Amino acid sequence: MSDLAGKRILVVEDEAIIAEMVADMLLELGACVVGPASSMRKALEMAEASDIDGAVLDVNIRSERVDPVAAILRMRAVPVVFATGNGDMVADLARGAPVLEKPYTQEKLGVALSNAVIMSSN
Amino acid sequence: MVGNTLPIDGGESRASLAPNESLTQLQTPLDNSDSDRTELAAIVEGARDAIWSWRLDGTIIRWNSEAQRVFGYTASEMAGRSLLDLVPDDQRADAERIIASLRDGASYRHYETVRLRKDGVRVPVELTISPLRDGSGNMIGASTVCRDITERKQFEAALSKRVGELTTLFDFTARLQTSTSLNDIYEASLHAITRALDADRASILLFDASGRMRFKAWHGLSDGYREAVDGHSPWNSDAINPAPIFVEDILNTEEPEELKQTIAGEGIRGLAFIPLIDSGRLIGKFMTYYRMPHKFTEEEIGVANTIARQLALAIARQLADQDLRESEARFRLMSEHAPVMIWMSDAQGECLHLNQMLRSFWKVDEDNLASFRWSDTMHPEDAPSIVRQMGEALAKRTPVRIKGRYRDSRGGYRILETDARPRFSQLGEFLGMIGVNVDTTEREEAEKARELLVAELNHRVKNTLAVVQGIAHKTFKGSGIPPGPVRAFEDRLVTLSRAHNLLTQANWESASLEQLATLTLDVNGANSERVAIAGPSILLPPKEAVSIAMALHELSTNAIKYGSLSNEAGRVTLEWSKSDGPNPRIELNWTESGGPRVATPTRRGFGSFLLERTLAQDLDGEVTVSFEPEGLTCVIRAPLLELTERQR
Repeated sequence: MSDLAGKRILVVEDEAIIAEMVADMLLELGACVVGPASSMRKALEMAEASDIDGAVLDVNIRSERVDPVAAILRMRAVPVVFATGNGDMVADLARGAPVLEKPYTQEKLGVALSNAVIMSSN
Repeated sequence: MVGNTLPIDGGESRASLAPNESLTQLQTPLDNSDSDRTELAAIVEGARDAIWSWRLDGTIIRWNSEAQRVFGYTASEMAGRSLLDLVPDDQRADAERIIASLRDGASYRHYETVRLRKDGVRVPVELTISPLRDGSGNMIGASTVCRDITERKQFEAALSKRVGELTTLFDFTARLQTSTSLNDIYEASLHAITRALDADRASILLFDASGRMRFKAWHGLSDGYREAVDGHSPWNSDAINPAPIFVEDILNTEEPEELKQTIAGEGIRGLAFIPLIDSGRLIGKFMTYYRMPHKFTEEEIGVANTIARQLALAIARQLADQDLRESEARFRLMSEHAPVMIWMSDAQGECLHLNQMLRSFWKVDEDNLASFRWSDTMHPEDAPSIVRQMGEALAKRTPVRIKGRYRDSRGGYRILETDARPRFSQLGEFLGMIGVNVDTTEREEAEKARELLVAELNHRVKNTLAVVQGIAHKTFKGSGIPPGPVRAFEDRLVTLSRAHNLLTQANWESASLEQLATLTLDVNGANSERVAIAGPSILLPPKEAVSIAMALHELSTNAIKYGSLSNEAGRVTLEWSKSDGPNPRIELNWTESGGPRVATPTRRGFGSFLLERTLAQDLDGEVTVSFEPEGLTCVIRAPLLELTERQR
């Protein structure tokens, strides 16, 4: 877990209670939480402007796909982990990035984020 | 040629021969000599032809013995009589004209006419008439050489009849070839029968469906007669190759008197029954009728049989054609208004027939079918696959099922599922394909919508599980509850979520036990060395799938904590089997080995509760957990709800 220590991780999640849980998980993993962003507008702002080392993106934000946010982060070469209730439908968006099936455990989140960070640094 | 002319007996000093070049050489030997005359008279007397000579007034002056034989008059009877006595009244004018023209120097060779015998019978004859002249060249009379040509005339008549019969048969065959209806066939046949068989009247009868002989066509029979003899037949419909029957005179038969009187009353004496046989099966008969008693000749019988063969064949062919046309018409009618699209193609795959529904799909007229190319309406993306599959079916002449999009008359694409089969003629020749298209656009859209709905539902379920997880997280946080139970709770949620994933993939109809076990026990991941699973392919209904997934999760969690997966060496095997029969059951065996020694726990946790109570209840089965010292075992037995065909 040490590889996530001090990393600034953006959380995009429209369900407040889930967002809070993810934030807690990240804190327990030693990371710093940016956000959480619960709307597309806010997510886009933060994706563009925030100083971040990684992101956990819920695929559907209030019935909209999170693609534009992912595109910005991809341009900025920020490692991303996607979270979804619908694993089959996001292969086109993820493009090899880790996908977490909701609900997921803190352990799974840690592994996925670490992998994403390693992948992007290679 | 001897006897062509002869001198006139009775005092003329000289007789001279007619100026006939073929006789000039005879002039010298006959010249004015008594002995010559005697010789000539002997020749005339012994000639094969009847010969007589006559004066210009027509008085017979010489009559040879052949003339006596042919006409019945002796020479003395004829002496002094006019030759016109031999001429029938209807030939008299002609005879007088001949006599007059002879005076003008004419002569006749082989002139065919008719003369009367003494008994009044007409004799066909051939006459050669030459003038007789005196020494100064004046015509004094004529000689007639007459040959009886009765036999030749009879022969000629027979020959002409035969030619007539053959011509009639030939015409008959030609007419049958071109006839397009039963009535054409009947008319041609009646015509041929009456002409070739010289019959006054004729009729054609066929057996009806009940095996009764019915008049189909006739010439010259009264309604009353047909009614009276309706159904009368010398043969039943099951007679095999019956022979024709020729009745010379109905009055000389053993038939019932009433029938005889009916027939005779119609003015019929001679008649014939000619069977019509097709492939050995009697289908009917034709009849000929004669006013007078009629003796049938060999030739007539032959002709009758020939006509019967031709007629039976033509009727059978026509009926078969009619059947075919009717069945084709029935097919067209059915196909035309069927609520599916039906088509027929030729061997190259071009449209021969589209039913009404398919024509309106493509908005193509029946008249424009020849120029219509269905391949132009295929969706460009589907065209290669459709063309390839249809081409293969045409080449191999095999049935084919093709799905593809086609542009309809409104310009939109519709999904058509085509089921096509090869068509063959009776001779086995490949004619093309016949197929049915079903528009599955709505069905597929509905299926897609249902898939989307299920996916959306799954998304929501899992989001809700995540929310539940969040609530638990929030609730337990700072409550003093150690992280262990919280972790266990989360793991259970994840297991539940995974089972739902599998069910979603199969539209919430079923989940494969093998996949369920693999995912839940992480057999392909962390546990690949430690957990082995084996069993036949079984599809579990949704409720059972979730229950079993939860059970397997509890068993593996327990094994990791306390059982065979808690050390480095232990193993787990999961085996399952299915019993056959009308009420199949499944049995799962969970067996741990190589773990720490097992003691029966003093306290039962949620895991045990879930297994022994919830699972047993959910599955309507029994679950037995045994804490054997060498490892825990669990046996799950439950009825397996068979999935219906649709759900497979």
